[in-house]
Amino acid sequence: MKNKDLNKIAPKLSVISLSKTGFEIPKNYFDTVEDAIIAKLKADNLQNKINSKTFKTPKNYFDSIENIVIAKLKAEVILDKNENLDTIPIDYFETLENKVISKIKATPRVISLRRKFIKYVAPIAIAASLLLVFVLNNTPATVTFDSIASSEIESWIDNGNIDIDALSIASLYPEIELNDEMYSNSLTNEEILDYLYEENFEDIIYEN
Amino acid sequence: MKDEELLVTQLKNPDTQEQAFRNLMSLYKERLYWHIRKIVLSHDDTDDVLQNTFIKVFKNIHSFKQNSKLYSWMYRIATNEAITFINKKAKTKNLDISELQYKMADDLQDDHNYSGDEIQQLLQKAIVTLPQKQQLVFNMKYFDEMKYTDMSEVLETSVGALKASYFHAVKKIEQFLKSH
Repeated sequence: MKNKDLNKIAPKLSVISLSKTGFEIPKNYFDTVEDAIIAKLKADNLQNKINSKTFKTPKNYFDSIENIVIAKLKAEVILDKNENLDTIPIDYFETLENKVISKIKATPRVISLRRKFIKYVAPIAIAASLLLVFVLNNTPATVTFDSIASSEIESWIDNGNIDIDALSIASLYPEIELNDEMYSNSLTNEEILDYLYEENFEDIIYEN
Repeated sequence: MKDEELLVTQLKNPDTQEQAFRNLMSLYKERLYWHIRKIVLSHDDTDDVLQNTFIKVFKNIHSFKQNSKLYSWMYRIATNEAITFINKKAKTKNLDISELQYKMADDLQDDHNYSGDEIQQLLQKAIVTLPQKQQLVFNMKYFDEMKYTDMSEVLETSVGALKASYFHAVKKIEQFLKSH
């Protein structure tokens, strides 16, 4: 774009003097700038030399550093794996209760008297069933514990075929409050059995 | 061997490089100074950028492949140094680059190394409103009267694009001058 074109396109711009832009420089600046640059360059080089002499690395450091880093990384991975073995899953303790509760619900209800039943009633029942086997010797069918009804056992007890100690009964039902008299020898076996007869035997078992 | 090639050879030779470097500075210091001054505006900042430019030239002369002219390569370094300087300054002052440049143009009236009249100062304010590339093109063409082919080598832009860029810059500046 020549000046005459500039006049047409930008008349205001074209009248601004190019010879006097207004930018001044300090006196003798261009005479001294070269020395200033050389001095700065030498200072930079000197600084670089000082830095390169001050900090040194062991011999072959850069040849071995890669292997050292890799070995360290591997060691850290192994360490992490071992640490993970001892750790527990996140939220383990928060979820533990629910897991336990759900397992408990899934398990069939166990009657707490089971052990007591086996310990005290089962021998009675077995004895009763053996007796029945001998009495009903003619019966060809096999008698099992399941095949004997509770009423038969009760009946067998009613007939005085068993001698149960009062203390054994008391220890079987600790939650039943007994009067002192009841522990005394004044109670006869018949009286105890009468009591048991009056009470629903199955209910007492299942309540416990 | 041409003068420029000889100078480059001497710059690469440790025995002759200091004297060759002095010759190089002597040849280009004023042109590079004024190129940088139009970008950063203040003398002190220009002095810093000029020194950094020559130091960079000295340190990187071994990587100069002579695919372009030596002065084009040096102009390119000077331009990059000046723009990097402005960017860093803007970041330090937490300002946008255009905000900083407008402030720099506004500060000229208090600069003891500036004696421009009102219209000269208005021109500087108009220039800093241009996009960065247009500023460079306008300065190199309007003030330095550089040929488009040389500008093309420095700015690595086609001559046609440079002409269009200069035309747009002139129009915008004229508009700015008319409206102020």
